[in-house]
Amino acid sequence: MMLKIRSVPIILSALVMLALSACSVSLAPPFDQSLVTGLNSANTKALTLFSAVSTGSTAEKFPQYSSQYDGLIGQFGALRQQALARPIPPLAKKLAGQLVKYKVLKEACGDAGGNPSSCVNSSPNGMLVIINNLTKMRDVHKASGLKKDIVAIFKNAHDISMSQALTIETALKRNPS
Amino acid sequence: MSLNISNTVDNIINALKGSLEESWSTVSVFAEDQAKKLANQAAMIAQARTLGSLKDDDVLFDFFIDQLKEMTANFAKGIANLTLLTIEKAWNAIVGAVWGAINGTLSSAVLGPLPIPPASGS
Repeated sequence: MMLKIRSVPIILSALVMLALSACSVSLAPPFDQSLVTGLNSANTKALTLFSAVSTGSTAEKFPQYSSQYDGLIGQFGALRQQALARPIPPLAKKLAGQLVKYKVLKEACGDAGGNPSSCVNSSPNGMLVIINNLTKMRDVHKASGLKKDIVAIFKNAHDISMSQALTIETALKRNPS
Repeated sequence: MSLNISNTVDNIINALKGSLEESWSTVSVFAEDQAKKLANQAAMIAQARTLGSLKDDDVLFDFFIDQLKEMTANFAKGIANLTLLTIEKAWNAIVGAVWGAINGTLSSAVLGPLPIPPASGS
């Protein structure tokens, strides 16, 4: 009930902003086919690496995979930069700025730097987890090798975050009105 | 020729219904998939901590727990993002139907169509 009462001014302010605009609106970044293509391509390479080490791999074998890790981390890093550099529509920016005035949404949508756009342009969040996941997996592989159950956890984390990034990027493709 | 109010209302409702159905389908498939994968991740971490390779590895266990929290928050942010897209689609579907009705009437009177104006802040 508390949540419902708290939600009223949030919903009202969102509707007032939309009503004031009174025309067609854009509340999320534009679709970028090259990002979807890039994510699919990098994902195929990542799944190939996960498959190669799925039964475990020793630290001695790490040099065989070193360049694959570095290539993937670089590729996902570049895709994240591209996603972050996209223009956010001014109305979406304003809306995000209004939403984070409410404590519950500030905690959810405001990042550590106070940037409120992580609910408006959310796919870079998933890409950051992918990068950190691959970086940690590389470091563990190099230091002590990878056990089968640990690889499975790294892979599932990758799948979760990949699905988050790809679902949002694909949803940004709006039907022409 | 006057604007047919009944047809316009039907067009608005149909446009809205179509956009909301499509959006809900995306949200529900995404939510179900994420819920399953996150639950599976929690189970795999717990299994590895009690019986597997995380039993004596506090550092990696903490990393996976923090990561699980981050992925759960990102799931919620993704739903918020999809909700904003739903609001956008619903709003534009309504505006498109209303402008379509106006332009239909104008064109039958051999008058030029009114373009849908962009929102002042969009």
